[in-house]
Amino acid sequence: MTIFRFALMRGLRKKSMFAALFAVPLAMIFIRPLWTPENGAGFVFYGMVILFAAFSLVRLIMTDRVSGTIVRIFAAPVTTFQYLSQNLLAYWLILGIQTVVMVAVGAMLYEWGIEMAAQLILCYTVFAVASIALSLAWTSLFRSKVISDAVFSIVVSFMALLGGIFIPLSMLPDILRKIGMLFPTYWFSNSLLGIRDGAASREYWLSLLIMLLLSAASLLYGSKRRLE
Amino acid sequence: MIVASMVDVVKRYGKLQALDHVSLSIRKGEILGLLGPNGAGKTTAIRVLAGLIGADSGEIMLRGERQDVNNIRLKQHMGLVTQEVTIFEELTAEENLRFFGGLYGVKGELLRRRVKETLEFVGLSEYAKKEPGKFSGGMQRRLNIACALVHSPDFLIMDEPTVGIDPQSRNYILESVRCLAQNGTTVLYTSHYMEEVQAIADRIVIMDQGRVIADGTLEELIGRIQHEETIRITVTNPSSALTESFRAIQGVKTVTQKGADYTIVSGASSGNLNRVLAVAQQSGGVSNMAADKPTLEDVFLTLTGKKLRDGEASA
Repeated sequence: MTIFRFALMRGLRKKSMFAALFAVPLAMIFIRPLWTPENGAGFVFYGMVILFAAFSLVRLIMTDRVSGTIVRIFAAPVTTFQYLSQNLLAYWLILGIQTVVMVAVGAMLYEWGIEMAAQLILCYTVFAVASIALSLAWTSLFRSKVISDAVFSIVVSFMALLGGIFIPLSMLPDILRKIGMLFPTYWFSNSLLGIRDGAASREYWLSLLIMLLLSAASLLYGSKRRLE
Repeated sequence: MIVASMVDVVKRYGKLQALDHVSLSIRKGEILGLLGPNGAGKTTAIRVLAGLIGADSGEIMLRGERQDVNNIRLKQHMGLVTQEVTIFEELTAEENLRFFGGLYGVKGELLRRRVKETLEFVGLSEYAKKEPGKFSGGMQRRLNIACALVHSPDFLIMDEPTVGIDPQSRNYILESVRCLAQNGTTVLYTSHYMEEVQAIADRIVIMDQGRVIADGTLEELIGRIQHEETIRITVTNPSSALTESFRAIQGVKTVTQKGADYTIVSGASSGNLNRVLAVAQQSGGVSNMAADKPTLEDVFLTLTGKKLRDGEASA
C-alpha cells in the first residue's frame, strides 16, 4: 500500500490543500443561516466544496502524468489498477474524514439527529466518489493543467446551475432539468431533497445509485489513459 | 551472458515508424551506450525494453524471459532513470526514495538502509530531509538517479540522465555509472552527447530514424569507417624544401603550410606520424605536434551524413 500511504501524504502535505480541505468547510458550518431548514443552501454548497477538493486531489494524478513521473511508476512492478485504486482510495478517505468532521460539527450545532447525520454522510461520501471519478475523467482529457483548471471552473459552474446548486431543481425548466440529469450534481441535489422528504425516500436511494453508476462510467473512461 | 535483447522489434505510432526492425543485445555487467539524435527512437526502444509500451512485432527478452507490458515480475530487477526529472517535489529526498523503494517491495530495515546508502552514493545525504524543489538542477538529477537505484536493480536503464546540467554534476554522474558497472550492474545508457558515450560505454549502438545503424566497441566502429589521418606540426625552420619532403612521404595526400604550421593529411592507417616527425627533425626541429584521431563524431557523420551537436542533427 505504498501508493496509498504516499497519496495521503501528498494530499495533505501542502498547506493550501490542507486549508481547502478542512479550514474552508469548517468555516462554512459555523455560518448558521446556511443551515436552517428554510434555507438549506449550506448542504448543497458543501457539495461544491467536495467537488473542488476532489478535483484538487485528482490533479496530483495529472501532475504525475504531465511531469512524466507516471512513466517511472509504471517502470516498477505496479499495475494501472494498483496505481489508480490506491490513489483514489486515499483521496476518498481524505474527503470522507472531511465529511465526517463536518457533519459531526453540524449535528452538534444544529441538532440534526443521528439518522439525518448518517444520511448526510452517506450522501456526501457517495458524491465524493462521483466527484473523484468525474475529476479523473476530466483530467484525462487534458495535457495542460492550466487549461484543465480553467475549463473545469466553467463547466462546474454549468453543472452547478443545471444540478440545482444555485437554483432549486423545481424552479428549472424541464429541458434544463433533463440535461442536468447527465451530471452527478443533479442527483446530489436530488438526494438532499430526498433526505428532507424522509428517511426511506425512494428518490434518495435512487439518486445515490445513479451517482454510483455515473462514477463507474467516469472511472472507466478516466482510467484508460495510462501513459502520456 | 545476455541480460536483455531486442530482435527485429517494430513499433509504430500511427504513420511514424519509431522502431524499424531494431535488434540489439546487452551483456551482463557492461555499459551499453545507445547513441542517436533526438527522434532516433532511443526513448521508444527503452520504453519497449522496460515493458512500458508494447511492440508491434519482434521479440524482447529480459533475463531469459519474454518481456511485455503485462510481465510485472520482470520489472522487479530493473531500474529506469527517466529523461525528465521525475520526482515528487512535495516529498523530501528521503521520502522520494522510500516511495520508489516501496514500489519494488523493499520494506522496513532494508528500505531504511538502502535509502541511506543510495543517498550517500549520489552525494545527497545531508539533503535527505529537504524537498527537491529547492535543489539545483544537478542535485535533482542525482536524486532522479537515486530513485532508480534504491531497490538495487541489476539492470539499469538511463535515458539521457545528464541533460541540462553543469559539467561538475555530469562528471559526478558519469563516475557513478562507472562505479555501478564495476559493482556488476548492467547499464543501458542513452545519450546524444558523443563524448559521454565515448567516455563510459563498453559497447555502442548508434540509432538513427528508428534503425540501428552500427553496433560495436568504439575501436570497432572507428575501424569500420574510412578516415584520413591528420597531423599538425609546427617546425622551427619552415621552407618549401620541407614541404616537398613531407609530400614525398608515402601515403601523404596533401600538405598545407601556414607560416611555421603544417597540416599533413594521409590515408587511413598510414602510420606516417613517425615519418613526418623524422623529416621535420632533420630540417631543424619541431616545436609542436599533434595527430587528430577519428572520433565517434566522425563515425556518426560517416554513417548518417549528419552531425550530432547537442541533440540537434543538422544535415
